[in-house]
Amino acid sequence: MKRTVADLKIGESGIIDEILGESEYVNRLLEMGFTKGTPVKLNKKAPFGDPLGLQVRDYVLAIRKSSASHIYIK
Amino acid sequence: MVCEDEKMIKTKTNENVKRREIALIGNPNAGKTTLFNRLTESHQRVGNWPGVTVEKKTGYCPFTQKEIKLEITDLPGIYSIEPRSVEEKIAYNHLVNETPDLVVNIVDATNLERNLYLTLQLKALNIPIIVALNIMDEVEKNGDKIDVQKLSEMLGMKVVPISAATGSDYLSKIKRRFKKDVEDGGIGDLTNEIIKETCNESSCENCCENYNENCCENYSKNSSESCCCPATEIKNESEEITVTTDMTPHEMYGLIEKVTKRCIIKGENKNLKRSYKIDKLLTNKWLGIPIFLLIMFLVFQISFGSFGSAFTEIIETFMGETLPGYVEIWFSKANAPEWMLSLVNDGILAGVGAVLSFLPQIVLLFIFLTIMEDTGYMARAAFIMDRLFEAVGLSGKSFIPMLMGFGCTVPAVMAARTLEDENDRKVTIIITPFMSCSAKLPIYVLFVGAFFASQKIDILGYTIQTGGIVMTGIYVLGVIVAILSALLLKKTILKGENTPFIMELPPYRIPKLTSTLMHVWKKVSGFIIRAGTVIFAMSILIWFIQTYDFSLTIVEDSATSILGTIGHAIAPVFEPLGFGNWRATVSLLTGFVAKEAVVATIEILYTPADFEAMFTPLTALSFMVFTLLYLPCLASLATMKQELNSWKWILFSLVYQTSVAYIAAFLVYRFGLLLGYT
Repeated sequence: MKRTVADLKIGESGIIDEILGESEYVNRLLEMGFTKGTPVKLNKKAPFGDPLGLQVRDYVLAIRKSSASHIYIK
Repeated sequence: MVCEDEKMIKTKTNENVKRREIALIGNPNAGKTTLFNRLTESHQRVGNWPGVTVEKKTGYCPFTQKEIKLEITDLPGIYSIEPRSVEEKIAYNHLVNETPDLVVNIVDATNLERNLYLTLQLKALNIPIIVALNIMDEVEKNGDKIDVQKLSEMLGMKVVPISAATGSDYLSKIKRRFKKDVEDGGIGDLTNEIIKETCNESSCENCCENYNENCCENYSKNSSESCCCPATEIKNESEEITVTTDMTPHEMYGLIEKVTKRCIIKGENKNLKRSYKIDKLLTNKWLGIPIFLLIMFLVFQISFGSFGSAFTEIIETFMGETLPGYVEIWFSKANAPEWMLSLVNDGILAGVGAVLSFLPQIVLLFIFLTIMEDTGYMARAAFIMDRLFEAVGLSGKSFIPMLMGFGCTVPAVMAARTLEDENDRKVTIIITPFMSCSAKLPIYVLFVGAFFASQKIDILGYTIQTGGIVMTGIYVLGVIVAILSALLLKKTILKGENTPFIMELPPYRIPKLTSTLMHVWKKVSGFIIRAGTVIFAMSILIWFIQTYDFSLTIVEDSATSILGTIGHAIAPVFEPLGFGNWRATVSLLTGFVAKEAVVATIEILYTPADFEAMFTPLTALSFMVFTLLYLPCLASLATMKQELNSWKWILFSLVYQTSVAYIAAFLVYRFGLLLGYT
């Protein structure tokens, strides 16, 4: 089974492969730099385990776990 | 580049002034607001973009020579100019329809790759643009090396390195005014560059840095005019990238990476590391929420506790005693008629004073709110609370506005501005008044004190004061109604496409005191002007209808005044709720102006004996539930109108809240009757 960003442990990195989902949201993520081949690291989790703080291209973006599970990584 | 002599306008003194329109654009958290403030200082106007609830800031630069007027429009902070969200559409339309003379794209140099995405999109639009490379102070600290020349060349636009925060403090401003040599963070250079790019003479010598005889035969690819364009002439050797509007994000980032690899040698991103460490504590699984609650508790304690209320008392005394005292003296000296004295003292000063008196607390709340925003902590608060809000269809960003509602609805509603999704923002603004604000507290204290203080009930062998339970119950009820309303609204009329949660967690930055205070002042002055004019008018109206009766004679007994008559007429409406007497009704009506007025009116209209006779614990409870939920005070309404930018939604809020209040109080009363209480 392919791994997604939601499977990362804190401090762990992966390389973005593809993002599935509703096209507008996917486009947003792509525009924010979540393109194929880009390293992404799980920086932190909120106290409830959700949302996640992802480090990508020198900044940190918070997205929900449900969205992170659509970002496939290598 | 075209020098548009058509834009020279004649001022009143017949001078020829070149007016140039500049648009400021960039990512959120790139320092755009600080830059805008640096460029315009106090010469700003704040409004709304037409038809939407997004703030529009315009201003002009006071540092240019008199013949040059730079009018600057601050476009909303966006990550992309693809016109999807409201903010993106606003920015896109402004660029395409208003065609500013120059676009200044502010870029965060510590986060260059993502920031350059917007830059490349703008490049593809073929508009006049320069880049303000901001936060260079951190770049230096990190040990990054940026080849600004090369960057300029590859982007095909002039890049000016700046640090908008440096030299933005008040001391530096004063030194600059006295022409003392002081670090200005590159703003002077930026201003000069803007002028250079927009106000060139038509002759090529002054236009091009690399002027030569062949210059004017080389057409700039951006312009079809005969004026030449610097820096892109020797195209064969230039490494300028090409961007088209049909490129995918993947392709764009490919170009960006090419640029950054060539122009930047990265040091160590110290701020990212430091923020990570701080967040380990502040977003900690176990400590994160308690720390947040502690901080909010402190904020409320300072704003509404003895510190804030000390200021309130000063204003209350001034507006309620000192000033009316003087007015009385002046008016009697001038032999002014009785009604005029009453108008000023009992009408204007009383009404305006009631609202101004909670101004210190609002200011304190605003200060804390702005500090939390400017440091980046606000994003963390939304981050840790998001899970709870997701369940209701909102996001963590709604948390801060609602929390502030426990203090005062006015700054709470203004805080909702940070919500990008318009539906979320509307819902949040509509439910925030259900968070019992501090002005309602005296109402509960009065009723609980009179009807519940001495009562105790036994639960499981423990004796509990009912007063405490009732108080807590009221607050909890407010929260429950807010939650249910959110669910209801989100499922029906404010159904959104549920834009999935995306929020940047910016690195922690220490804001400069002066810019923070400036932000606060802007928010507060806006509130004072808006609410002030509405409240001023309403105070006069209320004064009038409670002083006069329908034959326009002054009344002795307020029961016969216009307000009293209206109260008598409306009172039956409240019969089913248990408090269908005219005094209670009138108190509720005055609560429209300010919730503090409810207690004030009760104290005027009832004697203590009357009060205890006309209410019972059950009807007291019903009354409190009604005051908790019914329409918000004037100041709040004025602010909501400003933020929602439509009468339709204000009307809706009014009707919705009052209906909910009525139903809730009805249920409470009837249920109590069923249980056998009176």
